[in-house]
Amino acid sequence: MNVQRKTSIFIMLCTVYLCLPVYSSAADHTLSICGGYHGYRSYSQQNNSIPMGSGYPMLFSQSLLLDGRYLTKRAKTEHSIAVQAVLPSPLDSDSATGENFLVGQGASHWSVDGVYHLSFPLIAKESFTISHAFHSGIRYEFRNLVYPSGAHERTWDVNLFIGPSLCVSYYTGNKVVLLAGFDARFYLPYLNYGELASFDELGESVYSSPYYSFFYQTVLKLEGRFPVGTNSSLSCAIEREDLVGFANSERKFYPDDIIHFKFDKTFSCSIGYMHSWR
Amino acid sequence: MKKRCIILLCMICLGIFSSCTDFIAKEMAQTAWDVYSSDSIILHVRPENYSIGAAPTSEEAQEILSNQEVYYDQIVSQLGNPVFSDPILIYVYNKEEALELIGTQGGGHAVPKFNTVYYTYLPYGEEQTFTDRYGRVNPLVGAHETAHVISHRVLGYPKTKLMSEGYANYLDGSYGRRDIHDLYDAFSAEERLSPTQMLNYESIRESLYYPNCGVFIEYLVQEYGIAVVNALFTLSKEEIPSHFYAKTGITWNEMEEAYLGR
Repeated sequence: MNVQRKTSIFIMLCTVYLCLPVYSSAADHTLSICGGYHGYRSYSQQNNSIPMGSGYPMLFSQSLLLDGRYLTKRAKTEHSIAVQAVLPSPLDSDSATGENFLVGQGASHWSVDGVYHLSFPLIAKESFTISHAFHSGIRYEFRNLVYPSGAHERTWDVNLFIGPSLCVSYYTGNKVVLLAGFDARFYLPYLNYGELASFDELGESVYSSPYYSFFYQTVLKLEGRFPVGTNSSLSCAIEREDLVGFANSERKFYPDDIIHFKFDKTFSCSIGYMHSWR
Repeated sequence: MKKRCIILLCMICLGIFSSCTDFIAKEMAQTAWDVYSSDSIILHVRPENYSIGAAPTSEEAQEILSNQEVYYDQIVSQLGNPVFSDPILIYVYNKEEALELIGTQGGGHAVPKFNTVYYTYLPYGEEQTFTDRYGRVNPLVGAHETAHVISHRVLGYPKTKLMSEGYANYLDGSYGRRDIHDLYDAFSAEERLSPTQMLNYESIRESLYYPNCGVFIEYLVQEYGIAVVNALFTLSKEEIPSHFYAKTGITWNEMEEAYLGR
């Protein structure tokens, strides 16, 4: 068994182990479902020296977002498991002046994320709480970049990620909760696998290769929770994600034969319903 | 007051954290472009009154466009069977901003996945004259990066510098606005690299490596045909010698002796 597989299994087992005590009758439980808008922008690698630069042309899409979340809270720990799906949507491009010279019919993009957060309170003062967390998860992303001629490049990757989080909560007097959260996610070449396949205008396979990504992602989320009834509330959230990095055909932490890259920015806004019980 | 300070502190922290990716990659998307287009090329140049540095004139932009059309057609026809008909986007940055925005002010680079070339506007000196292998006089943007886009798109991503840069230098035929053959002829015996040295590329300076590998790939194409070179394009340096033998019946060492002794 190679190092990559061993490390991936270790991370998954750790995540499952940490998830095991999530459900406990002595805790507060919350289940939420959300839906909303998701905007995706993927830039070109304009500058390939470090720090790299992203620029035009840019791929973009607009899609629907579905999010399901289970949260359990005890005295000093909070566990959260979330699954977020960005539904398949057509891709378009902007060459800097609003015109599309890069993408043809049939181009698409979609992704699914599963994230587990384990949070601990750091500072609690009056109505403020600042908590820090460890999080890990798995992300699947698919993109079919169809060029105007009909030639296309298909990429998909499965990534395990880990990283720290910070969350600030403010409880207003009328039971409204305002939250601001930040996740830093590290995608290491030994914890992920991707495949790139390109086809010419006649549909003939031109090239295919596995790839191993070294990405860094930041997630910034602002959320408001407004009570409706005793145990329920409505949530309203906006989220911004920046994902940057490159992928080589072999596992490397430095750019070598970069066969894939991501300079992706996403923005989403969603509304949801939350129900809590003890 | 204390509450406001905490809110302010939290907001500052979150603001800093949310821009953390800037340490790895900065967004540099600019929208100030004049666009010139033809069937195969979409050329973006800075407007003539752009605030940073001198920009190409309208006549120069038309000339770049017309040169690139020639390169595009010639490169596609030289590649053999592969088909390619997508437009290529070219962004020409002014010299004074190029280093910061595209990482070089002495040329450019290509992003084949996005059919895109980023290049620096470098006007010729008054007494400087250069005619490239396609007969274009004083071209402001050469064929090198266009060759990268087309070759990567139709053949795939090369694992060796020899194939990536050799192919582009062969198709361009020039380096630093001089013919690669003139440069190669001026090299000393030690500066004329062997195929094995080029295959095992290790920090050989670009001005030496590029003309050498362009001349070598041209030799391979002339001796064994473009189909053999295309078949080696995406292979690793360990795989290339054995695949070369499988395709031609000639060992890498035999070919190397013939190349150096020609």
